[in-house]
Amino acid sequence: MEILLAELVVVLALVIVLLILLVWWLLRKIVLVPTLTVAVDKAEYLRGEVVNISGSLMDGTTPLAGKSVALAVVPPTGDAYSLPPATTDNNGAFSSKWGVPADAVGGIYGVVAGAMGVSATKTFKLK
Amino acid sequence: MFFFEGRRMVSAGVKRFLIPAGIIAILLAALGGIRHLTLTFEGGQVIYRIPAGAQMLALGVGLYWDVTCTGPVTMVDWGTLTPGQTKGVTVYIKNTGNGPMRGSISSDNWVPDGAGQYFDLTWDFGSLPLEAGRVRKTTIYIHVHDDITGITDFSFNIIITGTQVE
Repeated sequence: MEILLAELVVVLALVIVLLILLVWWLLRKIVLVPTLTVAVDKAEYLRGEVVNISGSLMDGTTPLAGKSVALAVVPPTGDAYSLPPATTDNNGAFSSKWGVPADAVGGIYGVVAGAMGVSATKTFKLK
Repeated sequence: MFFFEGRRMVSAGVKRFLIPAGIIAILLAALGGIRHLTLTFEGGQVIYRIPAGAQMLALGVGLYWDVTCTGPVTMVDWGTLTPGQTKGVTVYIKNTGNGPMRGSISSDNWVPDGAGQYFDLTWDFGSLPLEAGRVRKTTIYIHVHDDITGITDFSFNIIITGTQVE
């Protein structure tokens, strides 16, 4: 009788674990967990150069296509530069460009991307 | 057999731990609530709470919670305010026009009527023009006068206006 009870407990535990895994899998299917990345093509720039911005928006390993990505360039001091939003392609990738103004202050800049409630930042140096 | 004896022993041990832990958790939760209440009515001082319905209106500019301008600001909850206190909220103001602009801040629609005399509304936007397409990080401050009386609950509109520089 006691052995039967032990087996029942083990079976119940397995069923609970399977149910938890099922719920987790269903939630992963229903709820998006976007991951946003952003990068620039160089670590340092000069005034007048173009900063090539790229990145991706994924849900795990699934690309999120056709999504708008808001972009801004934040200087070390002063007002940020708002860039036109980019759109992700079928691979979840996006790209944009920013020409460094002639009067831009030197220092560390941040490229900030935002989409679907998540954001990502990449820094570069303006000499 | 040993398994069940052991399980009963573990179960008893878990119970011995869980029951006092549960009691402690309940006591801590209760103390937390009492502490909250104590803070809310600290020293018998009246706490003024601005409702979450405080409106933010932007004219000629964009008003956002983030530098990428994805989250528009429509309301601000200042939380609880005490007499003499200053609180700030940080927003991002974008020049959506075609040329440089200056910004100004004002308030209206104070409820109850006349409540505005007990509050100062300021910001650190500065006097420098904001160029087209640029975004400025700005903190808006509200200060409650020490002599505030008779108001326990209020709301108002904050109006941010962008004016093109000629």
